[in-house]
Amino acid sequence: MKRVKNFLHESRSKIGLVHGFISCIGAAVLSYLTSMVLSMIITGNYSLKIVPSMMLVPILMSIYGIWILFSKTRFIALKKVLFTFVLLVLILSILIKVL
Amino acid sequence: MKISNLNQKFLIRAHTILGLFAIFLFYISTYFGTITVFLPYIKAWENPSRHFISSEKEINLDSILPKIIKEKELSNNIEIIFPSFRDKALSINDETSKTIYINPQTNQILNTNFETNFISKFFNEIHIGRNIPKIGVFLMGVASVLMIFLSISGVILWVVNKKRNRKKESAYLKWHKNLSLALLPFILVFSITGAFLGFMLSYSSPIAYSASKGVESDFRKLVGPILFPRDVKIERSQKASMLSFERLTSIANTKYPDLEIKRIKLSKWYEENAKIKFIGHIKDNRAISGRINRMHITLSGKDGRVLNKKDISNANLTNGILSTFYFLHFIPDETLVLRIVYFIFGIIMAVSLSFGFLIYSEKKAKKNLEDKNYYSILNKLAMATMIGVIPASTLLMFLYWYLPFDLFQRDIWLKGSFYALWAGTLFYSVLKDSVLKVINHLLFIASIFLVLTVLYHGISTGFYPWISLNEKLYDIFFVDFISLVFALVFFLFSKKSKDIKFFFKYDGDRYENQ
Amino acid sequence: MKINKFVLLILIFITSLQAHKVAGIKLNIKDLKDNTILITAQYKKSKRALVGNKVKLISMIDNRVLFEDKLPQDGLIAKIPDESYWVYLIVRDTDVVLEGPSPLEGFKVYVKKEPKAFLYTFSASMIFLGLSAFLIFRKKSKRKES
Repeated sequence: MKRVKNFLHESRSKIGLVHGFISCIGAAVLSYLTSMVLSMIITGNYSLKIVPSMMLVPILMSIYGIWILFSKTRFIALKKVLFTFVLLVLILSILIKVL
Repeated sequence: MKISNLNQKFLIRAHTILGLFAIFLFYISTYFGTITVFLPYIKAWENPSRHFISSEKEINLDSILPKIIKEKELSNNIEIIFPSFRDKALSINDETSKTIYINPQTNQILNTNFETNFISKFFNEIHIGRNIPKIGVFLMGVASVLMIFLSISGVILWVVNKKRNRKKESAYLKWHKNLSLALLPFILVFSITGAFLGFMLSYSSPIAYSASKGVESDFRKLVGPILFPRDVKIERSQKASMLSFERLTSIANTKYPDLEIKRIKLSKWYEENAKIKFIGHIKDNRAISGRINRMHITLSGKDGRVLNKKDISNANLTNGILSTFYFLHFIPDETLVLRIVYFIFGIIMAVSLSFGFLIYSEKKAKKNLEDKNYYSILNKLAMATMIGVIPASTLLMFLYWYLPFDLFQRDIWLKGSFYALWAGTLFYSVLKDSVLKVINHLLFIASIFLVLTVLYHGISTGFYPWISLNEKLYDIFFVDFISLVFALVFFLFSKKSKDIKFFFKYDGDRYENQ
Repeated sequence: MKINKFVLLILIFITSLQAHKVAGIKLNIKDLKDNTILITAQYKKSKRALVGNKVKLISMIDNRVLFEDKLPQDGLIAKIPDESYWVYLIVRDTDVVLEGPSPLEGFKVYVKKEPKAFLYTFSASMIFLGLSAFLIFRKKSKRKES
């Protein structure tokens, strides 16, 4: 356990596999979640809800990817992903209950 | 704008690694996408039945349609597509039979035996990635999403490094940067629309899920009825006589003067409840009323009264957005000048992509200068993929006219030879170590095949380039002409590249490189 | 990293080069054992039968049309010709093609068209790829020795 903790906290000079994976997969997951939230917030018929959200997903993937990439340690990257993930899931569940 | 050194390093490394992953797929997509910019001309060129001059005169549907409907026993939902920039022939079909193509000048039915639009379909398939079984389309979609990331990260890197010392930059870095920056709007448009078309259209179930609150996971079922409402099913009714097509068209033109009619749909024709739907785009506003957002007016076939009308005022906003999107990617009805511009941009983009790869391979070669055992497999693969595809595609065009049209399994021979030669270029680039020699030989082969293509096109259809120019078949002449131009360019390059200073280091025969 | 790209390149060359199939449509030919066949077709997903499409029996010898008719609701019954033939189902602008079963006494004129195209071209591609891999391996080991 201590080894994992050290691994996550070390500050490295190059991107390793773990950091890369966290960025790629985290960006994909977060961008999908964000567009899901967006599709619930937009009012109107289905085409207005779905089509703009679909168009934003690839762009969001790049933006999230860059944001997560810019983390000094693997731990910070993981933190970014997990916090945003939990936040978005919370918003989604609230929206499902309210609307 | 400043970002920390560490973050910059991260960005460069991410740009490099993701670039290497995406380049093999994206270069091929760009290459074939650039060729398909000229799709309408290629379609006319590859189909001997379209080797006629397009007609300027008005089409008299009454002299053609009733006869065809009766002869070919066409039943419900007959669709008539008017000659357009994309196809000179008038096309008629119903839901089940083979499409009938008619020469609008002579009203003759065209012989389209053995014509399968093979080249257009095959090149388009490779562009989408559908030629790789099961995972091809997904991989191409991922590559186009990565392209967005690469463009954004590239711009960030440029902005941060503006003040850096320019002299130390390698030539490849300078050109990759300048070319990509110059084409940035073009690249962004194509990667964003490409990512939407290639990736999002297949993988949008989570969004459909959330928008419908967990009910439906197929977004097409939710969006389809709104954007593309199905025609209401018509009940069968007694036989009745219809107004003439000339009369119905003039009614449509009066009630909807802005509509440029491109297609007509007949439902339950020759019956009481018959409907005729005139579909097209708004004159002067092709972008918004493109393929996705066609405007229409529906009349009753029996008495011509207006049953339904769709114009911009009651069209869907999303339809307009999607239509503009598709317009940017496909430029469907645009003519020569815009297509040539897109073509040149496409070539420059392909060059910039390959320079990006060369930055990486140069850096790696420099690092391993002392290592005599250094052998880069990646370089050979890149050579075969990026340059080898050129002779392979020219071979395909040559064999298209050389092989007889009724050859058994002709399309498998064509596709198989394409891939076999492509594999052969990999073998050749591994066999010969001198990079410049391999490029020269491959481009020389490509130029030979291009000349043979034009020659056999003439032998097979009788339309040599001077004949098609004489007969004013400009679109067919254009394809032959471009092929010959590229044959000349490749030939000159293969002969003269030894004397260009930039390529000296690749010439294995030179004394200093021994 | 490099190995992944090699695999990718190989995947590019293995394609489903099988023609004459239309995704989503199944053509059935049932030999009724009295020198006739029952031809039916349905959509793979919804199992709905195709009606109204043209069916042609085409000779393998010289590509001429031996018989043609439209598909009725319960399927088309056709007499088995004396020579090797294909059954073509016209679905709009593509065809679904199957080899037709032979009559009880065998064909009077028999032709077997070998599907050589895929075999020859695919093996050519594989030979080139294999030779390339072999050469790469040899060059790398040669360099290690010197």
